[in-house]
Amino acid sequence: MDPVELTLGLGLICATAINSTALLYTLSRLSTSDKTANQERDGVEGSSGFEPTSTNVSESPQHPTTKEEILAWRQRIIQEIEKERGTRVITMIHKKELWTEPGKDPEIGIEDTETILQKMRKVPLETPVDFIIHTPGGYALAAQMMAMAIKFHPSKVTVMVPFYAMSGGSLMSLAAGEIRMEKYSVLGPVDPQVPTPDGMYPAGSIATLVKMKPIQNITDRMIIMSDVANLEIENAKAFVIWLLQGKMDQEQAERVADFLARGYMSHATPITLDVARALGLNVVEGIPDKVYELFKTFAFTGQPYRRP
Amino acid sequence: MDEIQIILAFAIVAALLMSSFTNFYFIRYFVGRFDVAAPGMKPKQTDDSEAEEKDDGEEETTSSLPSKEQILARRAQLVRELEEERGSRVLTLIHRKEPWSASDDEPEIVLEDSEAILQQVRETPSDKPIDFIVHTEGGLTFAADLMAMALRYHKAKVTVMVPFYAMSDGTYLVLSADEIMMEKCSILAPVEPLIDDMPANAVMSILKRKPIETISDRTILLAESARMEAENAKEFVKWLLIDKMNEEQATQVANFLVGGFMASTTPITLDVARAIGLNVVEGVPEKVHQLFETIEFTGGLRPGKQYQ
Repeated sequence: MDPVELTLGLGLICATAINSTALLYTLSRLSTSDKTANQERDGVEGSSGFEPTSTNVSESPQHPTTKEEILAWRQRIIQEIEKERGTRVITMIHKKELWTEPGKDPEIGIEDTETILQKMRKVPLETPVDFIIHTPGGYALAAQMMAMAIKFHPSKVTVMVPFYAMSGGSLMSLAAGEIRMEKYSVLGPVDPQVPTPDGMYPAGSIATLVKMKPIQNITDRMIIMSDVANLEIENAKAFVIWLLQGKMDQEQAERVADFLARGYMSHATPITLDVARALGLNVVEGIPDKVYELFKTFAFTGQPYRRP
Repeated sequence: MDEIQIILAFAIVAALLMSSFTNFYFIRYFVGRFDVAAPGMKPKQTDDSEAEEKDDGEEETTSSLPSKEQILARRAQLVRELEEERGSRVLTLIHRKEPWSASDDEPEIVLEDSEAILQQVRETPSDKPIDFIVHTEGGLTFAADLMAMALRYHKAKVTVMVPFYAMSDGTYLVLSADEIMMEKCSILAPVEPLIDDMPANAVMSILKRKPIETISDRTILLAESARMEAENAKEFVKWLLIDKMNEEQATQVANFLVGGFMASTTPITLDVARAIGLNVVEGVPEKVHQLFETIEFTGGLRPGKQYQ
């Protein structure tokens, strides 16, 4: 064999290798961009540009470290759930992330409402929605608006509660046509919390205070707040009754609303699958494995688990 | 091994090398473009040429999110398009955290807002209809009153659009409109004045519930100002409505919204607004929703929030 021939052969191989590496790199970068783009616009355009078989990036990154990688991974799982169930998946997951500002505890805020309402608006009327909720609760009015959006969606809405959906999250679950839970996942009471100068108190407790103590010994502000508390309870009850309309008869809806919103139990009392079923809600046991896989993408924060 | 063969082999190697360099060039080109265009920018329907020019300008900065100038330019463009579409002047009062606002900044109605809006209403020819997009949680009542008056006095038709919510003082602005456009999930709220963060009617009711000698002086003073504020608010609502319905009905609506019959967080939905006799149209133009999408350029970047 001629040394010239050998050199040329080696050169040929090198060039081809460089060429194919470059192509692979292009493909991977393009599909990452596509996924990020889909992430941002909620996959409205579908997954047209995304080829799961194209390159090595379609495998889960073993140790995603950047926000983009985590979001892309998450988006891929969501697309898989959508494909598997033939639904549109919307998530409201309040969990600390790598990029969460320290000292901030994610909870339902009015920004959630805007985002979720925009997403719900874009879902075609005949497409069922899977709503994955994981939240300690938060701003009640914001939760009410999202619950309205769930109730108004003409196709079936399934709320999935893989771990917990307390307070405002429970309110949203009540709006759904079907609630999917595990034996160990919980909802919570939806009784309003009233702000007072020395902290938030359950509306039911403030209403009771006025009954228990001679009125001249109660502070002025507490008496005033008891009025607010009564109105808030009425508001919450009326709203729950409206949410349950069409799912059970009026009398039962009133009883459930009273049970959940009157403040008979602590705001952290777990409403388990069995209790929810006993109340007459349409609860199905079992959550797709893929949903738990989705939650694995939240496990990279190094943040400790926080009690709701 | 003759010379032709060697030349041919060299040619092949050269060609391959060239092709790999071309590939690299393409990669750099595409990756640069996608990084700018993908994560933030929504696909544009009409104005691709303009957007592309902007993108080219941004290419050397590696930032993957559109700048403040780009977002504002996009918004101004959408407002112009909406104006053309509806033949009206579009004014906006949108209180929302922006990517560039401080994390503890909670925008609300302030006097500066009313100055700006009053100027803009004044500059609108009196025969030109006004479309007023409201998105606020309320704020300074006095400032809201000024804006409501300006809108009420405008000769041509005033349409107020509420894509999501217009709470407390924002509702004054809605009441001043000839026509209200809202979505099924949008909400208004009662306009009961708050005295020291307590609803006026609750403050007043303490005078009847507690023996007067046990009420603190401060609370009695607050109750007095609550009475005056509530009266003021009722009269103002009545005046806003008086040319749209008869006096008796206007009084009733004013009483309903100010009288303290509901908690301040009670949602006043489209159906309720219609039932109390307001001229409500369901549906907000698509362009308005596009305008609100420019807010979502930040995606999940906002602290503590994760949306799918």
